[in-house]
Parts: sequence; C-alpha cells; structure tokens
Amino acid sequence: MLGWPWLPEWLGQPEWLGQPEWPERGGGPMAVIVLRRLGLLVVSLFVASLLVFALLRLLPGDAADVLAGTSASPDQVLRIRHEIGADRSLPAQYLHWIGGVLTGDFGVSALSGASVSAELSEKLRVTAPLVGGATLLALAVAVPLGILAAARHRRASGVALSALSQLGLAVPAFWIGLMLVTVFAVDWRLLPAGGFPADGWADPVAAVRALVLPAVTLAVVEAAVLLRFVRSATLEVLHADFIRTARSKGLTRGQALRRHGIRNAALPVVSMLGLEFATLLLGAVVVENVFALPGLGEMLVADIGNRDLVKVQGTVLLVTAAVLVVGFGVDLAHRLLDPRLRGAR
Amino acid sequence: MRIRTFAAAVAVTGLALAACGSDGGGDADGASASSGASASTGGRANPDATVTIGAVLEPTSLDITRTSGVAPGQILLGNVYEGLVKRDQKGVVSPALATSYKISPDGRTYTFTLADNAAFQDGAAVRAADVVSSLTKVIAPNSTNPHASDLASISAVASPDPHTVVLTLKERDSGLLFNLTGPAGVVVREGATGLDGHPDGTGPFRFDSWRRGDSITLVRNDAYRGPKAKVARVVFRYLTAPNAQNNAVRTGQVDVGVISDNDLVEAYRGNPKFLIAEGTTTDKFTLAFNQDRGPLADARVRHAIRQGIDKDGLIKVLGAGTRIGSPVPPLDPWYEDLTSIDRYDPASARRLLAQAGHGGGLRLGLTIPNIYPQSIGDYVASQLREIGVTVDLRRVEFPAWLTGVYTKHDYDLSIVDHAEARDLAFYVKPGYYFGDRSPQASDLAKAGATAASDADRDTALRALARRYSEDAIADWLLLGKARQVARVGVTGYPTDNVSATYDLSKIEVAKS
Repeated sequence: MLGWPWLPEWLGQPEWLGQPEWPERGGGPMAVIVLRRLGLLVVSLFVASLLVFALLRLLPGDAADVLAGTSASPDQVLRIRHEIGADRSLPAQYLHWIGGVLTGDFGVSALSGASVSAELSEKLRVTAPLVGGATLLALAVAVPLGILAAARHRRASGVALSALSQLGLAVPAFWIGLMLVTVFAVDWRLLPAGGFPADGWADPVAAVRALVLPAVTLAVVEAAVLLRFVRSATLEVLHADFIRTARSKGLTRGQALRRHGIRNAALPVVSMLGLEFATLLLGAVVVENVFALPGLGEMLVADIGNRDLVKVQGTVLLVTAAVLVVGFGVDLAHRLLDPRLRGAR
Repeated sequence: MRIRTFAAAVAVTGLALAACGSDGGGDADGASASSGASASTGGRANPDATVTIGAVLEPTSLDITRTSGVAPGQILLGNVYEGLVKRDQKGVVSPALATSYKISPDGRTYTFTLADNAAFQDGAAVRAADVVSSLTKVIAPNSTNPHASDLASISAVASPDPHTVVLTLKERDSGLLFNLTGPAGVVVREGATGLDGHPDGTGPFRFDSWRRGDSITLVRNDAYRGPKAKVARVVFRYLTAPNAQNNAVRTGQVDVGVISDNDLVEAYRGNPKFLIAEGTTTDKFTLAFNQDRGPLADARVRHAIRQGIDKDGLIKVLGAGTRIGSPVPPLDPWYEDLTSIDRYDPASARRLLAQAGHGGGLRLGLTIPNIYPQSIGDYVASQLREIGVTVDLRRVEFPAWLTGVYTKHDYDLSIVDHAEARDLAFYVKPGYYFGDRSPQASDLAKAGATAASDADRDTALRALARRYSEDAIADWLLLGKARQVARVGVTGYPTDNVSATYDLSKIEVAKS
C-alpha cells in the first residue's frame, strides 16, 4: 500500500485499496455516511425502475397479442388490450405500477391476473437459498484454496490450484450442470435430476436435496473467480511491508499471514463478492432452466417470452434492488473491516 | 325432422375404436410400439396412485375462457371442465353434460337435454342457466374469449326449462358440435370469477393446486356422476428443456413424458422398463407465403419453393412426422392424400423460378418463432439455396412473430405450427396473415360449414383443401408426431392429439 497517501487528493482512489490513515477530512460520523448511501440507493432504484419500464416497452409484441393468440379477431385484441390496461399512456402505466410498488404491491400478471408479489415471494424461496448456498459453497472452497495457492505460489501444488481455477472459469455452467445430472442423478441415483418438491420447504431434506446439484453448479464458476481473487489479494499482502516487519519480529510466514495478512486481504475479496452477486443471479437464470427449478430466473425467462411485462418489471426491480442492497452492505462491511475507512466519505 | 341422439354417436365411436385399434388406449398403436403393452393393469390397479405426467407447454393462465392456445385445454378439457359434448383423442364427438340432442331439419336449432345428476365440485347441480350464461358470454359482441370464433354461428342461447338448452344458429354449421367440445364450449358456473386460480368444473377430476413454473395437480372427483377415475392424483410437471424431460423419465420423476428428440427416444428402445408410444397430432408445420407483396405474389415462385423442399428429408432430420399435402390431417373425415401436388423436384423448381424472372437468384426473408427446433429453419434455408433462393433467416420470440407476421403481415416466408384442429376455414378469413382470398375459396368454406350432410361437408372441404394446395397458398412441411415414453406399469394414457386434450379417465397404475 505504499505510495497512496502521496497521491493528490483529487485523483481519488479505489476505496478498498485503503485511504490515508491520517486526517479525518470532514467525512462525518458513521450515521451520516449511512444516510447518504441510503439516499443514493433510493435514487438508484428510482432510475432503475424508469429504465426497466422504458426498455421493456421497446420489445415487439405485448401480452394482449399473446392472450389473443392466432384465432382472435383484431377487434378482440383491442378489447383484450383495453381490459388488461395496456392501451393507457406509458406515463399512466408507469405511475400506476410504481405507485403500487411503493406500497409493496407489484401489481398483477397481465396473463393470469395473479398477484406478482405472491409469485415473487414463492420463487424467492427457491432462488434465495440457491444463490445463498452457492455463495457459501464458493467461499468455503475459494478462501482456503486461494490462500493455499498464494502461500505455495512457487510450488507445483499452488500452480495446479491456479490452473484448476482457470479451468473452472472456462467451462460453461450449463455444461457442468448437465454433467452433474448425468453422473449423480441418472447414473448413480443419489440426487434428483431436477425440479423442486411440490410442497416446497415442508420437507426440508427433500428441498435441500433438490438444491444440491444446482448450487454446486452455480458455485463452481463462482469459486473459480473468487479463488483467483483470494490468491492475488493474499499474494499482494504477502509482499507488503507490514508482513516483512512481522517476519522480522520472528513470526513464521504462516503466523504473519494469519495474524496480519488475512484481514487485509479480505478487503478486495469482499468487494469482489459484492460485484459477483449480480453474476450469481444471472447464473441462476441458466441453472434454474437446466434443473427445471421453479425460481425467479426460470420465471423471468418465461415471462419475457409471454410479454408479461408487469411481472418482468417486478422481478427485474427486485433483483436490481438486491444487487444494490448487497453493494450497500459491502460498503458498510468495508468500513467495519478497515478502521481507516470509517471517517471517509 | 332429423333426430340424432347420442345412441348413434356412441355407436360411431365404437366403430371408430374397432377400426383404429386403441383409442386413448395408452399404449401404443401396434405400428409404433417397440413392445406390446396391456390396455389395462388387469384388475391390479392401485386406486390410490399418483401419476406424474411430463408436459412441455405450461399454461399462462388456467382461465380457459380468456386464454388462447391449447395448453389450458390439454389438462382441463374433459378432465376438470366439460361441455355439452366431448370428443375423444381421435376427434369423435360423444355425450358429456348433455345426454342427447336434436337438430331441426333446417339445421339451425340444436336442442340439448342436460344430464340431471351433473354437479360442480362443491356439489351444486349444473343448471341450464349455467350453460346459457357460459355460451352467451362467449358469443357476446364484447367477448374477450379468444376462441369465440368457434361459436360464431350461434345467434342465441336459451333454456325453455331447467333441463333443456336451445342453440339458435344464424345458418347451418357442420362444425358446431366439434367446436362445442373445445375450449369455447366449456360450461362454467353462472357468475364464476377467479377461474385462473380455481378452475371449477364438472369433470372426473378436481383442480388441486398450481405451482407456477413447475406443476399442476388434479385430484379425483369422487362425486363424479360417471365412471370414476382410476388414480387418486395426477400431476402435470412442466419440463421445457428436452434434457430435463428425458432425465425426469429416466429417473422415474415422471411416469409418462413427451420426448421428441430422436436420439433420446432411441435410447429407450429395447429397455424392458419403458414403453414408447407414438401418436398423431394436429400440429401442422406450415410454411406460409406472403402473397400480398413481392415475388411470392407470383404462383410460379410459390410452386417452385414447394417443389424445392424435400419433406421426407426434413422428417428424417426431425426424427418423426408425417407428410401432408394440405392442412388436413389424416384423421379428419375430409382427408385426401395431396402429397403428389408439387412433389420434390429441384430441377422443375429452378425452371419455374427462371420463368418467373428469378433465374439469377432470389432473396427472401424467413421468420420463425424461436420455440421451434432450429433445424427446421436451417433445413428449409439450405434446401432453398439449392434452387437459387437465398433465405434471410430471422428467429424471433413468439410475441414478436404475432405482432410482425400475424398482425402486420410484415414477412415473405414464415414457419409456424398451426396446432388447432380442423382449422381449414381460418385460411379464407379476410385479413388472415396468409390464405386464399378468392370468392371461390370462401364459397367452398361456406359450403362446407353449412352442409346439410356429412357427405356434402366432406366434399366441399376436400375441394377446399385441394384448392389451397394447388394454388400453393402455403407449404405444409409435416404433421408432427407425439412420442411419449412411459414407465411399464402405467397404462391407459392417451397417445393421439395429446396437446389439445389429455384424457386422464382411463389411466391406471399397477400395484407394485
């Protein structure tokens, strides 16, 4: 981290690389910072809702066409469009939708009339554990192996780990999924080939069994990305001055890394985790389709195909909010991990 | 006065059964089965069994009165909902909520006598008023029922007494009874709402639950007036990806699954644990020609394109299918083999193109919804390249096809599966995205619809189909084949036309 404090202040610097340790430059207390970030979050969400709404309106075809199909008359299509409210002006449609969202009501599906909020919460019961489980799995693999790969970066085992992570990055998730199903579900019959129990989490064992292969599939690529990050962050720390100082006090390399290095190396990894969350949600779309899991991603693909725009808007806004909130959380986590940041804007 | 009762209709059904072998029999028409299957478990059925059926197309809504397409009907028609009449898997009409009917000599008045013990799922009796309100809603001027055109010939629905419903027609309609078996004819309770979440019908099954994106569960209606269903529960699991469907069949997650990919099906041949059942469909993969603009206005170009595509080759690529020369599938009474019109002949196709002034080549757009196998478009494009037609292939989402091709007619060539049964009259509708707009064609369609006898109807419709083919309003690439793979021990599942209706009443599971 040499050199940063001497850079001109107006250049700024990536937060996770650390701020100068000294002067409090008017950042204000933590509460003010949190409030400011929250305000930014709300503005971002509002802009996102506008973008999502507007961009979806560029798609050709609408739900009235889908409802009417190939046997209805043009008059009927107009009547159906009126019935589902798709003939109102765009600002009116947007205000109607966003007004509902503000009160927690995401509207109803144009095709079925079912409540979008209810469906979102049902789908989240599949997608949230899937993404959460995959994140934990990826961390459990990537953190120890990444540190190991860094500690042994000159030895064969370290190089092998590095190569393995490269491979994990290169292989598409859906292929991994197909292979896992073939081996563990079709050949060995250890786990279900796909789907989710009809009664949801009523039988937790069955629900977890249904999520094992999808979560592993999602975690493989994620672990590969994280492993590389943990490795490079640890390597950087290993060469830092404070480790050299620690070593000169008589600590072994392992001791120095455990006591002083890991906390420092954690900062970039936490940032990466925040960014990767969006990638994970994207991956869930693919994985849910491969495993026929009734989750958010699978629903999103079907809804876009049916032009059920109110549902698509709700889903995308929810996912956007999740990503933004995670980013907010990462920001706070940084400040907790790194005392030097607590005063910074 | 001609009186026809269901006694006659039932006899006809019996004949059809005898002639065609199994109907909805479950197992395999002799020609297609790899090994013989028993039509029933022979008295060893488990009445408490749950059958899981792998399906592909999930309904977007279960409100059958406002949803287009065949998906809601596949699970609900005949199982949860009934109409006055019903049809079997081969299209033969028989009684349902009505026990008999009379047709007046001029063919314009249908008098139905209702079953007196029919009830909705909470036990409330079906009244004539329920039938009247259901049908009246469909034919109302402001109807949003996408199937309303099926009943367009009805001018009034009335009930002179609680057991009788009278339909008055604007003119004779030879297709009315068949159309009443479809989604337009279902009887729902008067004033019923919320049909998406709670389909409430009179059939042998009750709707239980729908996990959207996953499955729909039906349970046996123990209070059903007719023969009770032989299994306690039926779960339709929707598996869009062919691989997921295949894995579910292989690992026993579903008892019966739809598998269309040839390589996947072949893997089951000779496996004693599974049976392969093939059935016919009404899925007509149609290459439509836009006659309203550009080179396709010239009949020579249209004939050239038809002659330039080897349909047998396409069927080989897809692994299954039947050649048809018109939009009429072989099960329809007015079927005639028209495959000899515009036989595969690339040399003749090139000559025709040269005569039409396109000897130096021709460029056409081809729009295909991306829900169909990619190989169909690729095959057609490569065949047409051989005769000097360059194809710009556009794969679009189905809603984009509906807007661009179907509504705005902005296309040269288009491929779509016309899945509706008996849709010959669609192609004379003014404003339809392709078709025959000549007065002769609409006269034939009208003659078929208003024919006084089946023979007259068949003659007119046969002539209409021939006209379509000879004028090359489109090319019919193939009629799809449905292939299901079932676990041994499950019998009685339907095999024909399974995308429009799926009769669950005969399914049995052997005690294990």
